[in-house]
Amino acid sequence: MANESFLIIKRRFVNRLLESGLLILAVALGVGTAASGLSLLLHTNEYSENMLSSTSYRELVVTTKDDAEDMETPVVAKGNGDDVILTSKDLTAAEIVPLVSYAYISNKDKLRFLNQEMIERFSQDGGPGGGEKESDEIDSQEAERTEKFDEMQESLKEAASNPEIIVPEIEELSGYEITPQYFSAHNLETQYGSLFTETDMNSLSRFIVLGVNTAELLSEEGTDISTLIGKKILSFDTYYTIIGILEESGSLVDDLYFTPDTGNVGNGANQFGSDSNKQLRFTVSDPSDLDATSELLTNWFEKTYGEGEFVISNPRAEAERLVNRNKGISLLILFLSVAGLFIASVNISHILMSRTLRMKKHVGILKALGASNKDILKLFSSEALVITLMGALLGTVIAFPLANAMESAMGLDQGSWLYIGTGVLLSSLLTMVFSIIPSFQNSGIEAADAMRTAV
Amino acid sequence: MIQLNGISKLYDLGETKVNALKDVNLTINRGEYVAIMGPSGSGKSTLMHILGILDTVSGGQYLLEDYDITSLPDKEQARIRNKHFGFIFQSFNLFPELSALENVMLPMSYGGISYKNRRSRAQELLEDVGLAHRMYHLPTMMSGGEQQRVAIARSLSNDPDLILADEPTGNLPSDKGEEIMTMLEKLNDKGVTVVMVTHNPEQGNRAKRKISIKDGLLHKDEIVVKEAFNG
Repeated sequence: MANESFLIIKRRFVNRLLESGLLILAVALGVGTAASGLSLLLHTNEYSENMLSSTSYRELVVTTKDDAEDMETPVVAKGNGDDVILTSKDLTAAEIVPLVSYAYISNKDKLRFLNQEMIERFSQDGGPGGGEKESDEIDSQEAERTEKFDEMQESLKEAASNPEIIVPEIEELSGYEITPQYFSAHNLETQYGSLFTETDMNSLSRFIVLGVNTAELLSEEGTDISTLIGKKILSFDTYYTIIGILEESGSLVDDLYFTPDTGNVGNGANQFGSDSNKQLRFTVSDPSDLDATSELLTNWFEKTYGEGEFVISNPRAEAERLVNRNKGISLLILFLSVAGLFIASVNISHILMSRTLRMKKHVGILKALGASNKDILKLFSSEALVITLMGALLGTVIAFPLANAMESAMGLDQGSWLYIGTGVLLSSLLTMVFSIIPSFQNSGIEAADAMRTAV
Repeated sequence: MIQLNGISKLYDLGETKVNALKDVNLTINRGEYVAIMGPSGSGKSTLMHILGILDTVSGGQYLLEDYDITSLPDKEQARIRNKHFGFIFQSFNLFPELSALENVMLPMSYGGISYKNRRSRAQELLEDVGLAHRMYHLPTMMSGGEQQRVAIARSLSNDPDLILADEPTGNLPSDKGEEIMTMLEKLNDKGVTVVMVTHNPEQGNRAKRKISIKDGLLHKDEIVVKEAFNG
């Protein structure tokens, strides 16, 4: 059973339910906003650190001047008339820069698949031609289209009858054409099969390594993805042999495929029929080496292709600007929310002080009946504790959606509950300190002085 | 039992300093029934607060059973108030949030008595003061006389050695005041020491010893001769 002195506090709390409720709400709002502000800052920091420690932000990208503004789109074929075409041979620039850990090519790519739906659409679209053309030209294109159509029908028929060939139902997949060092630079390993090597780059066979989700997508329902190894996929114009499936990474890599970069294969074996322009990537271990590396690479490319024909980009510089901006915004939000919590805590302290002063005479009587200063402190602290705990609980309920909304607005994924928990704990402690101050002040009142109070 | 040696109490009110008690020497023995009398502002309530360890002294020595009370830590002073003293106030000073029963139980909770025991003891005490039918009533639902009887029951909850009553009948009509006075006399008859502050000469004369205080000084300390009063 409760000690009778605590019953006094309990009943006063209930009798002043509106005031008590508003106090709890003030604590909840203060704790909720401060916790979400702290969570946002911690999450922004974590996200920034993870982002900047990834390979993509420890590398320099070399492109031709023409491609510099469109770096993330698939590189298109360059005619021979272009001034400069960067090829995988230019990766040898890394040999004169000891700070470079990996040098590789990765070009965004799409793999279009051949299936019945695709053929029908090809038939309806009227082939690759279009627009007004001379009748001779139309006849020639029509013949070409019919030939291609027959060829595709034949390929599809052959593939469908061969259990070793996969005819995907999906229309296309996204992936990258890469050189093998891409895998090392991104720490990618296979769970089944193997990665392709430098030797495979010059093979006339087309190999493909799949991300784990891509493999799931291509495998038949209920079958193990390992059974895909060695099988071929029929694309729009060729077969790809699946040689490996990557380990799950939890990143975008799981949804991609990787094929050897074929731009330098003799006789133009790639789909464009000629050498294609490349984005060359040079990775360093320590991001602080990026500037020095950039200088050395600039010298090499200037010497090879002349000034102004290429661009060396440093994605980290832009990322750092973005990170600093986000950190600044998060810090400002945290400052405002903590300021809000501070103001709320001061007000809570003030209201609790007023509540305890209204009980000043009670303090005198309780002391006369045998309560020590410590007993009085415990008594009033219990009220402060209940208000803070209930407020903190409600604040936690507020903090989760608020933190998610702020993180979503900042373009971040949902943060860890641990950050919100830390925020709730710290802001509750701050509120607790403020709410206990009146208890300390009241516990030291002289009994005779308290007894003289009229209230 | 109680010995005050050269006790003084100075209230520092900024520019003004008030000497509420000046060099008070007083001895109260076990079983005495003492009335402290004097006009308003004479220092009688201050003296009672000091006797009840509710206020600190500015100078002098307070010995309780030869122990110097003024040097004891707060926790020990609180224990003495709880175990050995019982207080009765002019304005009753019951907690309006608690029932009569809970008000009487409260001091026992500081004495570490179990809920069951303090509840049964409180019921007994309320029956003794004739309030068995009012146990679960809040003080606001009771008359002044009833409230003071609850306060007396509360003061007795830990079997005190000393009852300190500060104008216990001050807020009561004369018939109810008489009830309270009779209760105090009965307690004293049972061996409990009673120190009562009053400005009512009639009530002062019902005590066994009468101390008059004026301007913070002990003015008179006399044994009341009952025969003379009765005659």
